Amino acid sequence: MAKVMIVEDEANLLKLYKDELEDDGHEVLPIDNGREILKYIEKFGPEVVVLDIKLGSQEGLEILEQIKNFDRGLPVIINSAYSSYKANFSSWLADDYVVKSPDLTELKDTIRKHTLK
Amino acid sequence: MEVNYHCDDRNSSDKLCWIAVLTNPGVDISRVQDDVMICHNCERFKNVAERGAGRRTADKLISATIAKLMEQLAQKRENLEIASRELKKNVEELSLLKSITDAIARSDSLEKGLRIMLTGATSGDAFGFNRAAVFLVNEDSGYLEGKCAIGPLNKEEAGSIWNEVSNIPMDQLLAGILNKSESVPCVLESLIESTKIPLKDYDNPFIQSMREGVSRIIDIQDIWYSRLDWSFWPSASKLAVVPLISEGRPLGLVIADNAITQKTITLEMVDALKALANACAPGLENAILRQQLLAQLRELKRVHELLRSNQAYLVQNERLVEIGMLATKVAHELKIPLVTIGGYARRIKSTMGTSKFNKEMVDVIIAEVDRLLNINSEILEFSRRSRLNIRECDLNAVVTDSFNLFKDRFKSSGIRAEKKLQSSKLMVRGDPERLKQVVLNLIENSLEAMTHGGRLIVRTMRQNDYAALEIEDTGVGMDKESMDNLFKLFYTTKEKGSGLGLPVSKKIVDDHGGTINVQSIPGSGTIFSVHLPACPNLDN
Repeated sequence: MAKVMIVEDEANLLKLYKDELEDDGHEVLPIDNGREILKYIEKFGPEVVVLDIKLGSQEGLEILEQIKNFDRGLPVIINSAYSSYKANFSSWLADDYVVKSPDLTELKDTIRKHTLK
Repeated sequence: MEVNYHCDDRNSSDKLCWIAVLTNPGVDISRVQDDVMICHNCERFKNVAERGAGRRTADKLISATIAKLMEQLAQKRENLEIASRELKKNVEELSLLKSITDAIARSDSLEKGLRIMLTGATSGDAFGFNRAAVFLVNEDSGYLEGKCAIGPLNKEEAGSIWNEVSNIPMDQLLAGILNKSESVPCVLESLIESTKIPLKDYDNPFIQSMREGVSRIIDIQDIWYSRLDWSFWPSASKLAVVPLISEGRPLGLVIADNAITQKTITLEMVDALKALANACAPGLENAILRQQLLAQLRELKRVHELLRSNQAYLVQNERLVEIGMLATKVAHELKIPLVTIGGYARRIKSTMGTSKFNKEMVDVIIAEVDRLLNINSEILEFSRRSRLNIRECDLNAVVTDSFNLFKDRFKSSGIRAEKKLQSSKLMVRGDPERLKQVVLNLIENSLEAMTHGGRLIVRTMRQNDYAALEIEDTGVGMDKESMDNLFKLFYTTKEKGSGLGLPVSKKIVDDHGGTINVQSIPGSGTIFSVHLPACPNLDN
């Protein structure tokens, strides 16, 4: 289906995402931190990046900026526990915003939306 | 023959006669010394003295010297008597002043103290003015204010009062004032009480007199004074004005006159009034200070009470803030584990095959995790610092969106639901997402109150500067206790409620500068009404 890169530091959640997305037929690269992200992108060549943003931390937003500077056309979906960042203009660089939920339907739909183009 | 040693003069027949004593040796001369002044005026004595003086020059000299000495003695005695009368008068005045100041010291209110002083000024056997009044300085208001007056308005009124008071001794009058709980003010007093003179009116003779500390007699016919308003002191002509000064501080002013008897006000009377004022001033100042102290004490008590209750409130508030912070932290920590558990539960469900038994158990896990996540997001919503995404939006659209989400619930719960929205758009400045949350919460609340069906009406309308939203149900309603606690955190009467829905709604409405209210009748239903500031130009 598509090459999906997931950045998420919660190991259990990362495994869930990986399993679920692989079941849907995606090729998934799960990474648990944003260090050397561009190297992974270059190597893996994802069609979409799912990026966790933590409350009160600039790290996720900085990674978003790096990705967009590197490849403006690569879709990035922010996956945050809270909806607060929706209103933060730094996050407007992202192509979509999905609030974390035990129901992965919305995340899957959004990934599909950005990889079918 | 028995000698009559007594004076021939009928008025002095108890005195011894100097001539009789001296011409009959053997009588103790010291006994008659006091009476020699009587002889000074006695013709017989003069004759004897002059006859004696005729014989020898030395006799003549002694006679003349004695006569002169006696004359001087007589003069001195007369002076002494005058001085003694004066002294007696002064002692009387002093003792009068003393009983007046004692009475002031014993009086329990400033009002009584003033009345006592004026009674002294007007009582017949004291200072004898017809009428008197007192003004006091009010630093706060900046006025010299009329406080108390005694005396008749005019001659007609004079009759009754004069007869009543004139024969009562001073001590009784004072005791009467001290024991009376409240006195009925006379007409003159009600006039005085409504009189106020600005302390900065330096042209006013009262203010001048007080500032300069000078007593004076004012003739109100005088060109300088006739232009002033004297309506507070009817039928006046001449007026004694005496400042009331305690330790150099002007307390006020005493005025007095003789408008009824027309008796001239002499400088002596003014001096006497001044003595009265000076004697009374310290006592009156005490009374004034006491009055101020009592007022301040009352204020202090009030503030103290207020502080005490605020203190309790602050302590409680501080605890709530701490609890809130703790709750937020816990909620943050719980979110990811709950998402993870719920996610895996769903994954188990989708990969487990067809075992119905296990599927039901997994469904329970999924449902309960969802419930926990809902409570979690309500806690976070409440504690989150309000960042509203404010824009102009149509309240009707917000209500319709929310209403439509419930359509299936309405049907399944047997609710007849209807919208009665203002026909035109109802524009407000607000965050539509958050307002939607309010409407959802309120409708949810109403549905939970109508477990056996009922009727729900959602209205919107413009009310002056506000956009109003009403949600009315025919549910169980609530009692006063519930209504009082409705918007308190974690208060709930429902088995499954989190006690957060309404506090969150209220917070959102508060953040919009609006109000939320509730009316309810137990057993018949509830109306929630929300008022939000409407956009001024877009109401049509």
